[in-house]
Amino acid sequence: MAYINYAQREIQLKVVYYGCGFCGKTTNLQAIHHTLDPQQKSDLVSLATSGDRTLFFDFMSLKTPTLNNFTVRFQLYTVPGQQIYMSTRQLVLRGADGIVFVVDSGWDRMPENVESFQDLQENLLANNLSLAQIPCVIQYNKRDLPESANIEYLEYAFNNRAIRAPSFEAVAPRGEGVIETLNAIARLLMVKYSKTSQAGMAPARAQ
Amino acid sequence: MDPFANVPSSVGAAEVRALQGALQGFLEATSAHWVALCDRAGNLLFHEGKDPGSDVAILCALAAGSFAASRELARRLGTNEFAEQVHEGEGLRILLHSLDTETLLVVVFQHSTSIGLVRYYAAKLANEVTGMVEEIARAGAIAFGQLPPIELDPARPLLS
Ligand SMILES: Nc1nc2c(ncn2[C@@H]2O[C@H](COP(=O)(O)OP(=O)(O)OP(=O)(O)O)[C@@H](O)[C@H]2O)c(=O)[nH]1
Ligand SMILES: [Mg+2]
Repeated sequence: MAYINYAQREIQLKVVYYGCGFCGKTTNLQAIHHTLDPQQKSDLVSLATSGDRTLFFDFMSLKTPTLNNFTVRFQLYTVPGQQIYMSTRQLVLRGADGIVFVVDSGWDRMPENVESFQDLQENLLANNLSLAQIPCVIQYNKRDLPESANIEYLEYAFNNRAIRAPSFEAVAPRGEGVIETLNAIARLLMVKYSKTSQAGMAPARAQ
Repeated sequence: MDPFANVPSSVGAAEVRALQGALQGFLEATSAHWVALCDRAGNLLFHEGKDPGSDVAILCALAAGSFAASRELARRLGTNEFAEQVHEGEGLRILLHSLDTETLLVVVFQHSTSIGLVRYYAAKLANEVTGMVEEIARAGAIAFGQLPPIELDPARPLLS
């Protein structure tokens, strides 16, 4: 849950990049890290296997001033997408304020995307959350692949709820769509946390 | 007119000072290097002491991750949650102590400091600050709820 330090006028919000193995979550964080001003960001920490697959999480922290003299610190995490890391994903999801769901646009990756989307919903439930409650942005990554699914199909498969999530096309290694995605989740979070009542805010107290 | 005119900027400030005092007292009593409170999601709440030589946000994310992983390991092996973990480095030790279900105390100290001493004062500190952390969070949330919406500057996108 969001943590507010009123005395220091700082708000911390946790954003988790979720999605199947190899869809480009780590690449998103790398592209963000590459783009940001040094004063705005921490190092990017990756707990990965020797083969560059995420083992536990990637993490970076970035801060931005608001119009009203607060500092917002976004804590960005990725989960390990490979199926075997189910319990790790649940740990990383703990206390998440917002989700970026990254979809691999490759046709052959649809079963993995669908499975990961279900896995996300189950893990949110295990944390007493649901997609209806938690701000979420969807990113269709790898739009450069020749065999990529069309957007209408992807929207139907992953964004077919009463309230549509903002969605973006991306080619993460080139940075395309990466910042748009991040800005969208940041705005959603700001809107949510500056309007919720105290009850929804209980800072540093999950659930 | 300043929309914040009616909001005291000092909300929770006295409590924050008291908490910082408690953390400083702990450092003095143990001669540990650095102490931090973070939540189990990895958010840094407060820290005191010598610059640990690395970004504190990262240290907290890693400490919370490490604690969560060992706890899950314990759970799956059918034992209780470890209330405390000590990691031994060559020159330094790190103690992770669970304050309550949401908050974690992280202490960095040297080998010349006895673990027993750090443990003793960590437990004492835990008792002392649990209520303070909650009080600060509650006061902050109430004040925050009375603010006009906090907005990112549209003219300055998050990433410039
Ligand atoms: N062609 C193409 N390749 C991409 C794109 N995004 C990421 N990749 C590549 O896909 C591979 C996997 O990317 P990662 O970012 O490591 O994937 P991940 O989602 O973090 O994977 P896990 O850590 O296993 O969950 C890398 O070789 C990336 O360079 C993209 O938009 N287009
Ligand atoms: Mg990864």
